[in-house]
Amino acid sequence: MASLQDIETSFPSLVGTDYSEESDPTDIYNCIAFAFGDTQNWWWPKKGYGMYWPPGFPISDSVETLTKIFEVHGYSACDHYEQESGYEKVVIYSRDGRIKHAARQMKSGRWASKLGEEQDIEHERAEHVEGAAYGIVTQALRRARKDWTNENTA
Amino acid sequence: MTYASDRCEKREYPRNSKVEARDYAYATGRAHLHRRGRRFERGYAVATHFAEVIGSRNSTHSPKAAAEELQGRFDKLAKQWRLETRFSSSLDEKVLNPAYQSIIAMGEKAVPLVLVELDRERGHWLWALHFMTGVDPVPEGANVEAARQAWLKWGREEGLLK
Repeated sequence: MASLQDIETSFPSLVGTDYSEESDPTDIYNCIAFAFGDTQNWWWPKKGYGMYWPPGFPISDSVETLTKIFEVHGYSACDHYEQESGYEKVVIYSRDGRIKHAARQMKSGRWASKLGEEQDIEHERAEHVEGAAYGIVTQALRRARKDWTNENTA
Repeated sequence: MTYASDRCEKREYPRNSKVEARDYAYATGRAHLHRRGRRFERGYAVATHFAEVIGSRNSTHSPKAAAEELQGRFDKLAKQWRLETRFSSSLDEKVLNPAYQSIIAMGEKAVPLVLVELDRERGHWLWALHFMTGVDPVPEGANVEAARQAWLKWGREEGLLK
Protein backbone atom coordinates (compact mmCIF):
# COMPACT_ATOMS: atom_id res chain seq x y z
CA MET A 1 0.00 0.00 0.00
CA ALA A 2 1.35 3.38 -0.98
CA SER A 3 2.13 5.61 1.99
CA LEU A 4 1.19 9.29 2.00
CA GLN A 5 4.85 10.05 1.38
CA ASP A 6 4.81 7.78 -1.71
CA ILE A 7 1.67 9.51 -2.97
CA GLU A 8 3.08 12.99 -2.41
CA THR A 9 6.35 12.05 -4.10
CA SER A 10 4.45 11.07 -7.24
CA PHE A 11 1.88 13.87 -6.97
CA PRO A 12 3.72 16.83 -5.40
CA SER A 13 0.79 19.20 -5.93
CA LEU A 14 -1.07 17.31 -3.20
CA VAL A 15 1.46 18.41 -0.58
CA GLY A 16 -0.16 20.76 1.90
CA THR A 17 -3.67 20.24 0.52
CA ASP A 18 -6.67 18.57 2.10
CA TYR A 19 -6.76 15.12 0.51
CA SER A 20 -7.75 11.77 2.00
CA GLU A 21 -7.42 8.05 1.33
CA GLU A 22 -10.78 6.41 0.74
CA SER A 23 -10.06 2.74 0.03
CA ASP A 24 -7.54 -0.07 0.21
CA PRO A 25 -5.34 -0.75 -2.82
CA THR A 26 -6.84 -3.01 -5.47
CA ASP A 27 -5.98 -4.14 -8.99
CA ILE A 28 -9.61 -5.02 -9.76
CA TYR A 29 -10.53 -1.59 -11.15
CA ASN A 30 -8.67 1.49 -12.31
CA CYS A 31 -9.25 5.23 -12.53
CA ILE A 32 -11.27 5.10 -15.75
CA ALA A 33 -13.62 2.43 -14.39
CA PHE A 34 -13.91 4.45 -11.17
CA ALA A 35 -14.83 7.60 -13.11
CA PHE A 36 -17.74 5.61 -14.59
CA GLY A 37 -18.67 4.23 -11.15
CA ASP A 38 -17.50 0.70 -12.02
CA THR A 39 -15.49 -1.08 -9.29
CA GLN A 40 -15.43 -4.52 -10.95
CA ASN A 41 -13.37 -3.94 -14.10
CA TRP A 42 -10.04 -2.53 -15.21
CA TRP A 43 -10.87 -0.36 -18.23
CA TRP A 44 -8.12 -0.23 -20.80
CA PRO A 45 -8.14 -0.48 -24.62
CA LYS A 46 -6.66 -3.97 -24.88
CA LYS A 47 -8.23 -7.31 -25.72
CA GLY A 48 -7.77 -10.02 -23.12
CA TYR A 49 -5.52 -9.98 -20.01
CA GLY A 50 -8.57 -9.20 -17.85
CA MET A 51 -9.04 -5.81 -19.49
CA TYR A 52 -12.45 -4.29 -20.24
CA TRP A 53 -13.19 -1.84 -23.01
CA PRO A 54 -16.72 -0.94 -24.08
CA PRO A 55 -17.69 -2.83 -27.24
CA GLY A 56 -18.07 -0.78 -30.39
CA PHE A 57 -15.33 1.73 -29.57
CA PRO A 58 -11.87 1.84 -31.15
CA ILE A 59 -9.10 0.01 -29.27
CA SER A 60 -7.31 3.29 -28.75
CA ASP A 61 -6.01 5.23 -25.75
CA SER A 62 -6.69 8.57 -27.39
CA VAL A 63 -8.52 11.32 -25.53
CA GLU A 64 -11.07 11.43 -28.37
CA THR A 65 -12.07 7.80 -27.88
CA LEU A 66 -12.54 8.12 -24.13
CA THR A 67 -14.48 11.35 -24.65
CA LYS A 68 -16.88 9.48 -26.96
CA ILE A 69 -17.39 6.79 -24.32
CA PHE A 70 -18.26 9.43 -21.72
CA GLU A 71 -20.67 11.02 -24.20
CA VAL A 72 -22.51 7.72 -24.57
CA HIS A 73 -22.93 7.80 -20.80
CA GLY A 74 -24.69 11.16 -20.97
CA TYR A 75 -21.75 13.53 -20.60
CA SER A 76 -20.98 16.38 -22.93
CA ALA A 77 -17.78 18.36 -23.27
CA CYS A 78 -17.52 21.59 -21.31
CA ASP A 79 -14.90 24.30 -21.15
CA HIS A 80 -13.95 24.19 -17.47
CA TYR A 81 -13.96 21.85 -14.51
CA GLU A 82 -15.08 24.20 -11.76
CA GLN A 83 -18.16 23.02 -9.87
CA GLU A 84 -21.53 23.92 -11.41
CA SER A 85 -24.87 23.61 -9.71
CA GLY A 86 -26.82 20.57 -10.85
CA TYR A 87 -23.97 18.98 -12.80
CA GLU A 88 -21.50 16.20 -12.17
CA LYS A 89 -18.20 16.45 -13.96
CA VAL A 90 -15.39 14.19 -15.04
CA VAL A 91 -11.95 15.13 -16.32
CA ILE A 92 -9.50 13.27 -18.55
CA TYR A 93 -5.76 13.65 -17.97
CA SER A 94 -3.40 12.97 -20.83
CA ARG A 95 0.15 13.23 -22.04
CA ASP A 96 1.02 13.42 -25.74
CA GLY A 97 -2.62 12.79 -26.58
CA ARG A 98 -2.67 9.44 -24.68
CA ILE A 99 -5.01 9.03 -21.74
CA LYS A 100 -3.28 8.65 -18.38
CA HIS A 101 -5.98 9.22 -15.80
CA ALA A 102 -9.60 10.18 -15.19
CA ALA A 103 -11.30 11.64 -12.13
CA ARG A 104 -14.87 12.49 -11.21
CA GLN A 105 -16.24 15.35 -9.18
CA MET A 106 -18.31 14.57 -6.13
CA LYS A 107 -21.36 16.42 -4.92
CA SER A 108 -19.18 18.28 -2.43
CA GLY A 109 -17.09 19.69 -5.26
CA ARG A 110 -14.08 17.54 -4.31
CA TRP A 111 -12.59 15.06 -6.78
CA ALA A 112 -12.32 11.27 -6.54
CA SER A 113 -9.36 9.52 -8.12
CA LYS A 114 -8.27 5.89 -8.18
CA LEU A 115 -4.47 5.85 -8.25
CA GLY A 116 -3.55 2.94 -10.55
CA GLU A 117 -3.34 -0.24 -8.44
CA GLU A 118 -3.21 1.76 -5.25
CA GLN A 119 -5.99 3.35 -3.21
CA ASP A 120 -8.79 5.79 -4.08
CA ILE A 121 -8.26 9.31 -2.86
CA GLU A 122 -10.38 12.43 -2.60
CA HIS A 123 -8.64 15.67 -3.46
CA GLU A 124 -9.65 19.31 -3.44
CA ARG A 125 -8.92 20.27 -7.02
CA ALA A 126 -8.56 18.36 -10.28
CA GLU A 127 -5.12 19.83 -10.97
CA HIS A 128 -3.69 18.42 -7.73
CA VAL A 129 -2.89 15.10 -9.44
CA GLU A 130 -1.46 16.67 -12.57
CA GLY A 131 2.24 16.08 -13.17
CA ALA A 132 4.72 13.62 -14.61
CA ALA A 133 2.57 10.58 -13.88
CA TYR A 134 -0.78 11.70 -15.30
CA GLY A 135 0.02 14.67 -17.47
CA ILE A 136 -2.54 17.48 -17.40
CA VAL A 137 -6.31 17.83 -17.61
CA THR A 138 -7.11 18.04 -21.31
CA GLN A 139 -10.84 17.38 -21.37
CA ALA A 140 -13.69 18.20 -18.99
CA LEU A 141 -17.20 16.81 -19.41
CA ARG A 142 -20.43 17.26 -17.50
CA ARG A 143 -23.92 15.78 -17.19
CA ALA A 144 -26.97 16.61 -15.12
CA ARG A 145 -26.65 15.25 -11.62
CA LYS A 146 -29.69 13.08 -10.88
CA ASP A 147 -29.24 13.30 -7.13
CA TRP A 148 -28.95 17.11 -7.08
CA THR A 149 -31.38 18.98 -4.79
CA ASN A 150 -31.68 22.60 -3.77
CA GLU A 151 -30.02 21.67 -0.46
CA ASN A 152 -26.76 21.28 -2.38
CA THR A 153 -26.74 24.92 -3.30
CA ALA A 154 -27.35 26.13 0.25
CA MET B 1 59.18 -1.85 -33.19
CA THR B 2 57.87 -4.45 -30.82
CA TYR B 3 54.73 -6.47 -31.25
CA ALA B 4 52.36 -7.58 -28.56
CA SER B 5 53.34 -11.16 -29.18
CA ASP B 6 57.02 -10.33 -28.42
CA ARG B 7 56.13 -9.21 -24.95
CA CYS B 8 54.08 -12.29 -24.13
CA GLU B 9 55.55 -15.01 -22.04
CA LYS B 10 54.53 -18.55 -22.58
CA ARG B 11 52.82 -19.68 -19.43
CA GLU B 12 52.42 -23.19 -18.19
CA TYR B 13 48.94 -23.93 -16.93
CA PRO B 14 48.28 -26.88 -14.68
CA ARG B 15 46.82 -29.69 -16.67
CA ASN B 16 46.37 -32.36 -14.12
CA SER B 17 43.12 -33.91 -15.21
CA LYS B 18 41.83 -35.46 -18.39
CA VAL B 19 38.97 -33.00 -18.55
CA GLU B 20 41.25 -29.96 -18.26
CA ALA B 21 43.68 -31.35 -20.81
CA ARG B 22 40.86 -31.93 -23.25
CA ASP B 23 39.45 -28.46 -22.66
CA TYR B 24 42.86 -26.82 -23.04
CA ALA B 25 43.59 -28.67 -26.24
CA TYR B 26 40.21 -27.81 -27.69
CA ALA B 27 40.39 -24.13 -26.81
CA THR B 28 43.95 -23.63 -28.07
CA GLY B 29 43.17 -25.65 -31.15
CA ARG B 30 40.25 -23.41 -31.97
CA ALA B 31 42.30 -20.30 -31.31
CA HIS B 32 45.19 -21.48 -33.52
CA LEU B 33 42.78 -22.34 -36.27
CA HIS B 34 41.84 -18.70 -36.54
CA ARG B 35 45.36 -17.39 -36.01
CA ARG B 36 46.49 -19.41 -38.98
CA GLY B 37 43.90 -17.53 -40.96
CA ARG B 38 45.40 -14.26 -39.68
CA ARG B 39 42.20 -13.52 -37.77
CA PHE B 40 43.84 -12.74 -34.47
CA GLU B 41 40.94 -10.88 -32.91
CA ARG B 42 38.52 -13.61 -33.78
CA GLY B 43 40.94 -16.21 -32.44
CA TYR B 44 41.21 -14.35 -29.15
CA ALA B 45 37.45 -14.07 -28.90
CA VAL B 46 37.05 -17.80 -29.49
CA ALA B 47 39.66 -18.63 -26.84
CA THR B 48 37.95 -16.28 -24.37
CA HIS B 49 34.59 -17.83 -25.10
CA PHE B 50 35.84 -21.35 -24.45
CA ALA B 51 37.63 -20.22 -21.29
CA GLU B 52 34.31 -18.87 -20.01
CA VAL B 53 32.45 -22.04 -20.96
CA ILE B 54 35.06 -24.18 -19.23
CA GLY B 55 35.05 -21.90 -16.22
CA SER B 56 31.29 -22.10 -15.85
CA ARG B 57 31.35 -25.88 -16.25
CA ASN B 58 33.98 -26.30 -13.56
CA SER B 59 32.37 -23.88 -11.12
CA THR B 60 30.79 -25.08 -7.90
CA HIS B 61 27.46 -23.32 -8.67
CA SER B 62 24.84 -25.69 -7.29
CA PRO B 63 21.24 -25.91 -8.54
CA LYS B 64 20.12 -24.51 -5.18
CA ALA B 65 22.42 -21.50 -5.54
CA ALA B 66 21.18 -20.96 -9.10
CA ALA B 67 17.55 -21.07 -7.90
CA GLU B 68 18.32 -18.56 -5.15
CA GLU B 69 20.03 -16.28 -7.65
CA LEU B 70 17.00 -16.48 -9.97
CA GLN B 71 14.63 -15.73 -7.08
CA GLY B 72 16.76 -12.79 -5.96
CA ARG B 73 16.86 -11.33 -9.45
CA PHE B 74 13.10 -11.80 -9.87
CA ASP B 75 12.30 -10.20 -6.50
CA LYS B 76 14.43 -7.18 -7.31
CA LEU B 77 12.82 -6.68 -10.73
CA ALA B 78 9.27 -7.27 -9.44
CA LYS B 79 9.79 -4.68 -6.68
CA GLN B 80 11.20 -2.20 -9.18
CA TRP B 81 8.24 -2.79 -11.50
CA ARG B 82 5.70 -2.21 -8.74
CA LEU B 83 7.40 0.97 -7.59
CA GLU B 84 7.60 2.38 -11.10
CA THR B 85 4.09 1.49 -12.32
CA ARG B 86 1.81 1.23 -9.30
CA PHE B 87 0.06 4.56 -9.89
CA SER B 88 -0.52 3.83 -13.58
CA SER B 89 -3.81 2.73 -15.11
CA SER B 90 -2.17 2.03 -18.42
CA LEU B 91 -1.58 -1.63 -19.21
CA ASP B 92 0.83 -0.49 -21.92
CA GLU B 93 2.98 1.39 -19.40
CA LYS B 94 2.97 -1.60 -17.08
CA VAL B 95 3.99 -4.21 -19.63
CA LEU B 96 6.51 -2.03 -21.46
CA ASN B 97 8.31 -1.17 -18.24
CA PRO B 98 11.97 -2.34 -18.52
CA ALA B 99 11.83 -4.37 -15.28
CA TYR B 100 8.68 -6.18 -16.49
CA GLN B 101 10.31 -6.88 -19.85
CA SER B 102 13.39 -8.25 -18.06
CA ILE B 103 11.16 -10.67 -16.16
CA ILE B 104 9.56 -11.84 -19.42
CA ALA B 105 13.08 -12.35 -20.80
CA MET B 106 13.87 -14.70 -17.89
CA GLY B 107 11.67 -17.19 -19.74
CA GLU B 108 10.03 -20.42 -18.67
CA LYS B 109 12.24 -20.97 -15.63
CA ALA B 110 10.73 -17.87 -13.99
CA VAL B 111 7.08 -18.85 -14.62
CA PRO B 112 6.66 -20.48 -11.17
CA LEU B 113 7.98 -17.29 -9.55
CA VAL B 114 5.48 -15.15 -11.47
CA LEU B 115 2.64 -17.48 -10.48
CA VAL B 116 3.59 -17.26 -6.79
CA GLU B 117 3.76 -13.45 -7.10
CA LEU B 118 0.34 -13.40 -8.77
CA ASP B 119 -1.07 -15.61 -6.03
CA ARG B 120 0.39 -13.71 -3.07
CA GLU B 121 0.83 -10.12 -4.20
CA ARG B 122 -1.58 -9.95 -7.15
CA GLY B 123 -0.77 -7.48 -9.95
CA HIS B 124 -0.94 -7.41 -13.73
CA TRP B 125 1.18 -10.47 -14.50
CA LEU B 126 -1.20 -11.95 -17.08
CA TRP B 127 0.58 -10.40 -20.05
CA ALA B 128 3.96 -11.72 -18.85
CA LEU B 129 2.59 -15.21 -18.24
CA HIS B 130 1.08 -15.31 -21.71
CA PHE B 131 4.38 -14.42 -23.38
CA MET B 132 6.52 -16.60 -21.09
CA THR B 133 4.40 -19.73 -21.59
CA GLY B 134 2.84 -19.29 -25.02
CA VAL B 135 -0.57 -20.27 -23.65
CA ASP B 136 -3.61 -18.27 -22.56
CA PRO B 137 -6.04 -20.05 -20.23
CA VAL B 138 -8.16 -16.91 -19.70
CA PRO B 139 -11.74 -17.17 -21.01
CA GLU B 140 -12.86 -14.37 -23.30
CA GLY B 141 -14.42 -11.45 -21.48
CA ALA B 142 -12.92 -12.36 -18.10
CA ASN B 143 -12.21 -9.48 -15.74
CA VAL B 144 -8.94 -9.11 -13.81
CA GLU B 145 -9.99 -11.39 -10.96
CA ALA B 146 -11.41 -14.11 -13.23
CA ALA B 147 -8.27 -13.98 -15.38
CA ARG B 148 -6.07 -14.22 -12.30
CA GLN B 149 -7.98 -17.27 -11.07
CA ALA B 150 -7.70 -18.90 -14.51
CA TRP B 151 -3.90 -18.53 -14.44
CA LEU B 152 -3.60 -19.82 -10.88
CA LYS B 153 -5.72 -22.86 -11.80
CA TRP B 154 -3.51 -23.45 -14.85
CA GLY B 155 -0.39 -23.18 -12.70
CA ARG B 156 -1.66 -25.76 -10.23
CA GLU B 157 -2.71 -28.15 -13.01
CA GLU B 158 0.74 -27.83 -14.58
CA GLY B 159 2.43 -28.48 -11.22
CA LEU B 160 4.05 -25.05 -11.24
CA LEU B 161 2.16 -23.70 -8.23
CA LYS B 162 1.32 -25.40 -4.91
